[in-house]
Amino acid sequence: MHAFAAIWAIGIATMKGGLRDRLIQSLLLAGFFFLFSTMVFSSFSMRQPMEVAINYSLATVQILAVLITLFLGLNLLSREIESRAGHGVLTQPLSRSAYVLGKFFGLMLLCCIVVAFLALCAVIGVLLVRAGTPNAPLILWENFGLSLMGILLISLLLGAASLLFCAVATSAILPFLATIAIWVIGNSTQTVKNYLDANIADQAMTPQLKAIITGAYYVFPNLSLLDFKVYAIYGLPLAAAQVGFALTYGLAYTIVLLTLATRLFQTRDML
Amino acid sequence: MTSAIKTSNLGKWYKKGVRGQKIEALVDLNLEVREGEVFGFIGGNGAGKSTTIKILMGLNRPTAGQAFIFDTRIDDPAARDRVGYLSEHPQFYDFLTPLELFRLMGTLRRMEGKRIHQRADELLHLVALADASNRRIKGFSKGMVQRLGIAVALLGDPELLILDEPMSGLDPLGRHLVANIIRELQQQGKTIFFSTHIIPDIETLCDRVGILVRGHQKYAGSIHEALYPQGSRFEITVRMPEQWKVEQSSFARKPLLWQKNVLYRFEIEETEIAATVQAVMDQGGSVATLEPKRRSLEELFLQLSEDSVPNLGDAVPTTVS
Ligand SMILES: Nc1ncnc2c1ncn2[C@@H]1O[C@H](COP(=O)(O)OP(=O)(O)O)[C@@H](O)[C@H]1O
Ligand SMILES: [Mg+2]
Repeated sequence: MHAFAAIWAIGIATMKGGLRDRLIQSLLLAGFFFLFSTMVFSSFSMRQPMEVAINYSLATVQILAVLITLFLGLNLLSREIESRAGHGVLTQPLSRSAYVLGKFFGLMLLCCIVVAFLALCAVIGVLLVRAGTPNAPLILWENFGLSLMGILLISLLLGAASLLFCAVATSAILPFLATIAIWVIGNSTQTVKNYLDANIADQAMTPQLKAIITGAYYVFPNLSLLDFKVYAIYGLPLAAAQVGFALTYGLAYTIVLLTLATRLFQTRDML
Repeated sequence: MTSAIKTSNLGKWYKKGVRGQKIEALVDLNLEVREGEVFGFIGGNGAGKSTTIKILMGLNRPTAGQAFIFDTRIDDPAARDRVGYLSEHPQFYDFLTPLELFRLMGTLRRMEGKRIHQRADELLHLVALADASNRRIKGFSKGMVQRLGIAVALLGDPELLILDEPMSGLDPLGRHLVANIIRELQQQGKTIFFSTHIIPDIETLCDRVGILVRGHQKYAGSIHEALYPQGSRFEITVRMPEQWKVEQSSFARKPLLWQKNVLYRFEIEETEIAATVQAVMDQGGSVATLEPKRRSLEELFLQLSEDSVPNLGDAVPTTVS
């Protein structure tokens, strides 16, 4: 019972920290302006303003959500360990696991707030464009919503990854860079996998190299699985099984990262 | 009787640098702090004081031995239930206000909301931060954060206080405040364990001290026995008549100090006290002060460090990293 109260309290404090952070506030404000400029931007495209509007707004939400998650990880996790600000909490009667889970809970609250805020701006932007477009095609809102869900899951996964790196690092910048690396790799694994599956790869590389790359594919997160943007942009049908698999994959990966972070944090020395 | 703190063969080494060079910060520490006492943990820079305290608070993990707080093993978070801690460099979530910080810390200590507010009120007054209770900690000066740290340590009304250098970084007024708080807490029957390298505070505050030299405990016991060892010499100050000359005295060897040919101070053996006092009175003088010659803590340190010659370099890396 106490563990829950502790996780809750740390989460709320972390959330306050995020919302009071100047950089995060600036990024949210930037999101607001970018998403309301959807109308201007999509009007450049005379033929498919709706597609452009949805593409532009979802991409903006995605990049800002990831950026904000990265900086939340830096300012609220890595910096906290480096500056010893977390010692006050850690020396209270609570387990290290409760601390890690509390930090993640706070991060989760923040990601939800950030994505919800950006999503609201995006929806308003898209609606404005539609109002100004004669004969606008139907928007598949459920795919739009699923894309936002995917973005939220990517943020949570990156948050858990940055928590994991913080559990082992002694400086603030390394977890930050490592999380960026995970994001970059996570976005390219699908391309690499497609290349491996194609026959041309067999001629270009040795079986050992292929095995290593296949291994890496399974170790690193495949973030493109969580990217439903095209389905929202072109109103393509999405199979429930595909969505179910992707969401389960994202959640499971996050939980594994979180479990590892909790384990590794258990034995580390604080600075 | 349970002891407030007990360690058995506690040890810690750190790995440093890419080559994983070992630094022995603490070796075989056997420490016992009894309930209700003020225990001073003394040592120079890098002696291992903070390492010990961080291990006790669960921030660092020991590499050898075991430690208990009120008989609970320190790897159990419940060991910190009855402990208040002040870090050497206190740092808190600076995006919070003191009141928000207290709410967070109080919740983590399972305190009721009402009690948290009441304590926060009392403690912020005690450390003179009442005016700043709703200001973000980000704008606080170093001294204010240190005082806030003291208030946070006292929040749960803990039975044991573990304070890492509570006086350093404070101005004389702040130091006086801390010394008074420690005395007050002692009166309430609390146990206080604090590390320090500021000598004058120790004598007036501590019941017992432990002295740490490069990770090795070299002394544990009464501060008076440490500073006034048995059979030590005494210093006597006497007031003699004006016409009296040092040369004609039977007792005075080389005076350490004299003032306007009236006050003289000598060093004598403990066995000579009676005879000297008698002689002074016989020659028309009087005794102004008589006190055991106090070893300075620096002297004591020096001596203890020399005793540890075989261990020299323990905490010193053997190669430059
Ligand atoms: N995190 C760490 N990594 C490597 N060495 C450390 C670390 N913390 C302390 N040390 C070393 O351990 C020794 C004891 O340090 P410390 O406990 O901070 O001493 P004190 O508090 O008495 O000044 C020093 O030699 C210090 O350099
Ligand atoms: Mg120290």
